[in-house]
Amino acid sequence: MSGTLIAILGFVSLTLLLLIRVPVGLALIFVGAVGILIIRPQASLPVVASEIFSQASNYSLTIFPLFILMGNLASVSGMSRDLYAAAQSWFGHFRGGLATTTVVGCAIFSALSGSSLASAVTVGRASLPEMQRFNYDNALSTGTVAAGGTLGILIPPSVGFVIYAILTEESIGQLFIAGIFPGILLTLLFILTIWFVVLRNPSLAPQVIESAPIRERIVLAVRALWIAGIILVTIGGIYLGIFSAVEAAGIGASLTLLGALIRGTLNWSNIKDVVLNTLQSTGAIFLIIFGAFVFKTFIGFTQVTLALAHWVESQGFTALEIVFVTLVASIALGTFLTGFAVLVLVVPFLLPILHGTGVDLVWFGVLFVMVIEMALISPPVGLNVFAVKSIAPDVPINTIFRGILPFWLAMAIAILLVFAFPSIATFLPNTMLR
Amino acid sequence: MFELLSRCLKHIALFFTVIGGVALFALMAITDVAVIARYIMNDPVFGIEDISVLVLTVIVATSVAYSAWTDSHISVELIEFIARRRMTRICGLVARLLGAGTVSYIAYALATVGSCGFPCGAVTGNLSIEHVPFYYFLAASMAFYVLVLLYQIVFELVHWRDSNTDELTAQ
Repeated sequence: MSGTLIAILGFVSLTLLLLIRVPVGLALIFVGAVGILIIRPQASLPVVASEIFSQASNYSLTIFPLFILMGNLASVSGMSRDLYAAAQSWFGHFRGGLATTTVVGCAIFSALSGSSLASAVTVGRASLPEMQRFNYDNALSTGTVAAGGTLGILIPPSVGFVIYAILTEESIGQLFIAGIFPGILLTLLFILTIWFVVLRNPSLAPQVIESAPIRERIVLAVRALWIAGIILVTIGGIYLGIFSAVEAAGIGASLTLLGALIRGTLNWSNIKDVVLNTLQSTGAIFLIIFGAFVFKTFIGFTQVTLALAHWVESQGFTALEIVFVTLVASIALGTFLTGFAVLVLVVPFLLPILHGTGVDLVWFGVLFVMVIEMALISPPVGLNVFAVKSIAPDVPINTIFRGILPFWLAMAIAILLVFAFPSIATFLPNTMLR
Repeated sequence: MFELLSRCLKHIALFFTVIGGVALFALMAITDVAVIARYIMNDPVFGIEDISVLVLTVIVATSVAYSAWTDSHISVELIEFIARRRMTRICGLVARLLGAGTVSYIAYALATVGSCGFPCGAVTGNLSIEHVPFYYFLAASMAFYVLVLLYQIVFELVHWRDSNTDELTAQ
């Protein structure tokens, strides 16, 4: 059997396993291990053990538990409530202002948490009851929270960027910094989307809250300064070359812990929740990483990527054509696979081709993470949608998906803008101090 | 019987989470010490990265075990939209069987390959700490994952006629 045929069979088997709900990480390991067993029987056991152990002890990956810990500590410390209150005092009095507040809250909270689910759930817990109190339409309010949460994996620190960096051997720090401008762009597009939707149909956000006095706004903004300080130290530290991304994660987690201790918001129950949530998210991500590396090795053994690279070269496709087709295909894949599954499936296949065409892998990484964001809210398997459903159980899932549609289009526009103007992503990393 | 098994698994999960929790804050402290020593005291601690990665291994092992216990490993929830309940349950059973087989293989691979240790160069870069116990710990966490999956399979089979066992197994 040729390597290409084995790879195709592997891909088909993987799709079937994913469809019957085998966890993504295990499906990748199963196909990878069996595939290697067919190609080089004696290599399967050592590859599985060494790939798993080398990722479990990969220094760069210490970033995961630390940033997840930071996000979870920020969630329980009350900082997210302060953040929401400050954003509400500044934006709440506009029409659709509570939805705008939610997006701004998600964007800022995303700078503390690398997880889109954590951003959606944390900000959603504060914002959904407020929007319901002011009679916001359920589709608009839940759609805003689900879409706003996706900023969590674009605005640094980002789980998506770390997995992409590990797969492509790009700099985690550069990718984090590259996510800043696209993150801000997407935030602005989400706000514009809310304004547009509410302008067309004012009944979606019927009530406007009273404008807060300027003194109160400043007091609330000052109260949220702790968060700004942590963001400045961690992200600013990476940008200025003071810290590595791993060190920034450790310092960020410590500062958040310190903030929570000073505020007196930590108790035994909170600490337990923080630890359990951090372990739960870390375990879920690492199993996928294990799978990605076993699968990547299997794909390497089949040499299908080389054959694919030669074929692409012989067809004379340009780099932009390849990137565009990949993004469109990945958006389509994202409608029935989870975002991380798309990432670990597509990137190993694509990497040799991209290397050959000279595509900027940082720019491509940003585009790809934006595609994953779309997958997070794409029907029927968008993870963020189910996260929002868990905190708004009375809202039907179809209503949430209906509310998401305008934001999904805004994301598509953002991807097109970053695709057409790569400097949106590459300007900051190119000016980074190293 | 199931209650007893469930309680046993819960205690093992608790054991993993306690170790994981301690390791989590230890990793944070180690990273802080490394930063302070390097940037403030200008005297980097030799081999501190070795300690970090070994603590990470402990965190990863405990977190994979805990995620197994809480059934939070990410899967694609598409089958529920396209198949009937009976089919979904059969697929779930097959998925767990395949999962149990795969994780058993991983545990076996980690235990056998990891037992080699120093002669195979399985040591940390600076302090030459042997990887063997960490391979075993990772293998143990995978073995726990297998137990959780087997428990769920047996539970599902025994309660096959019940209307909804997903919620029950999630307990």
